[in-house]
Amino acid sequence: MLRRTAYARDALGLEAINPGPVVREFAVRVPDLDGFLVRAREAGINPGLPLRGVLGEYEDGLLVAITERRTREQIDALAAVAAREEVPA
Amino acid sequence: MSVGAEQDTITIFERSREGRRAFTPPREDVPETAVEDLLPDWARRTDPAALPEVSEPEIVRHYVTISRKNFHLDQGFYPLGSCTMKHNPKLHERVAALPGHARLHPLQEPEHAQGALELMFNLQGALSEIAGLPHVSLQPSAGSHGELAGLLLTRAYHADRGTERTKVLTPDTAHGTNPATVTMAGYEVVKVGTAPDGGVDLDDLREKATEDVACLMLTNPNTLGLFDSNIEEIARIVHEVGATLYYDGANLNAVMGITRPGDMGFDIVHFNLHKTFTQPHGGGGPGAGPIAVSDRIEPFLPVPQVVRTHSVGAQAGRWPVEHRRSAYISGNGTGPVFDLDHDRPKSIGKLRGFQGNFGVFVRSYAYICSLGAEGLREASELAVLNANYLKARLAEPGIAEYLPIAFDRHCMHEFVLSGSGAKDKLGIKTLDIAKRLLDHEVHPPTVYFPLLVDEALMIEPTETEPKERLDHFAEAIRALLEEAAENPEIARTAPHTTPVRRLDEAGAAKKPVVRQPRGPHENPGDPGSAQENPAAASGAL
Ligand SMILES: Cc1ncc(COP(=O)(O)O)c(C=O)c1O
Repeated sequence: MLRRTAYARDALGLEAINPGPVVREFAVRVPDLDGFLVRAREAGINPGLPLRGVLGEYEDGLLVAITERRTREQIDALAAVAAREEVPA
Repeated sequence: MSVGAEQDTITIFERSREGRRAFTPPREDVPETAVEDLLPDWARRTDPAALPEVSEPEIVRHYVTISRKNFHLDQGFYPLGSCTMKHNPKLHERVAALPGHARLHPLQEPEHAQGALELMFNLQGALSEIAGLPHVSLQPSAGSHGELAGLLLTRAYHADRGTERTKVLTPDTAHGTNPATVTMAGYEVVKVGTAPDGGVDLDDLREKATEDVACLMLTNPNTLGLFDSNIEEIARIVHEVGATLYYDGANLNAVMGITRPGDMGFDIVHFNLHKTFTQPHGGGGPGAGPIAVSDRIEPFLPVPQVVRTHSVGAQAGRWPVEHRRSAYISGNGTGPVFDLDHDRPKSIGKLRGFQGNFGVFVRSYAYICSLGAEGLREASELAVLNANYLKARLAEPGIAEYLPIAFDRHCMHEFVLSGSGAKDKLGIKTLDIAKRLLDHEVHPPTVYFPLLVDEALMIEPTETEPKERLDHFAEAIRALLEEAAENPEIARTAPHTTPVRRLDEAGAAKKPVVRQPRGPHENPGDPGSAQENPAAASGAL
């Protein structure tokens, strides 16, 4: 799980809110969070918990959890959604 | 000692042998980075965790062995009064385990949890119909939690009308959670007496129902298993002084589809889904204590409420499944069909995390759907029939002189005997009878409750027991009374066939030993050794 989480944080390529070591959850900033959520869902993925409403100062924050049930293939699919996000529409 | 007998009493840690395992994780599909590169020194443990290393067959044997040491509903008759230990249909476990139910995240947005919200909405509707009250909140997690919700709602209701009241009435037959809830909600408990027929003493009620009373908490049938036919008069007295009437729904199994608390005049009702609606219980597992309320209490219900924002067609909720999915998502263009309503300015707030115990809702909804309205009524009728049959069997000569019925009337789903005769004539107490029943492979009834009956035995057979089980119980009672006439010592020292004998119940409650000691020389079951062990005593292991 530790490796999978580290792999996911790298693969997503988003700015980490806390750069310290992580075990199974990490928080990232997502530039167009709403668009990202919509695209992730279209890809059949619930990418995590938006931090707005939980921690007000992170309007663009997303808490991603990786468990032993997540495969590399699924993580890569989420990373593809994130990568598309960087490309202006 | 043979391996079998020895293995019967050891813990999973004692079964551990280095190198044994039950599971091999699949090969990593991500780069096998060294743990040292992922976690700094301070975050890594230096000693491996002391986890048991056990093979799968030994794990299975271990837990099957433990399960055989428990008395449980799947093993035998369990007439624990006031607890409705009815059969829990196994189908419900399959329904609750469906991935859409079991793997849904509680923080999933409503748009993507329409199926779960529809189930909750429909359960609310069914409970509303059963209670005869229009609004339901599924949030409270137990009957007692529903009681607390009810009193917080009562307070909010009175505050909204600009009045402050200080007292709550409970009958002297009430379950202990009623007065406990009153105290916890910051009210003063005022006890109302019981009339000779086992119902509420109306004169006493009239005297105590004053303008500073916030609420009367009542269960009907009451804890004696008797239906209070003065209920309309009781409701009138309580409402006349402006108080609310709270229905403790623990005894709802007696009246489903026959009468409704709302029709009797109650304002707030709790359900024990783990009793009446077959959520497995006992041992502290998850329960649910939803509440149903009248219009005047509705504005104060907890947040969020599960609501239907708009219908998706004339026959909303009855559409063929394949149509439903798209209907949920697009609705009629105004958002999700089912939603969580947080915008309730007069609400008492949130009572627990998330939306309640969802798995309990699934099982209870499955139960209501599989029985239907007719089936629920039949369940209650059979519960009452079974109780009256068993009451009649226990009124036979050879039993009744030792265990007289506390109030000799037709009962509802349960009845209360007094062990006074056995105590006086045989020298055995209700506790001895309860313990000796275990040797007959029957779970004891509830004992020493309600408090106003001397040496009480409260018996609730439920509708799911066949006649042979009821007869076996009556014969077991007869046999143990006959035996006590010859030799009371057998009952006094019972049980004799259970994995442990008579326990120090006060000690078990006050000085429980609940931790597995690490070293091989500590005895986990011996409170004395736990005390001698300073690490154990300080909880530092
Ligand atoms: C009459 C009565 N009221 C209230 C309760 C409390 O319900 P719960 O145990 O779900 O908190 C019980 C439960 O044992 C009961 O029998």
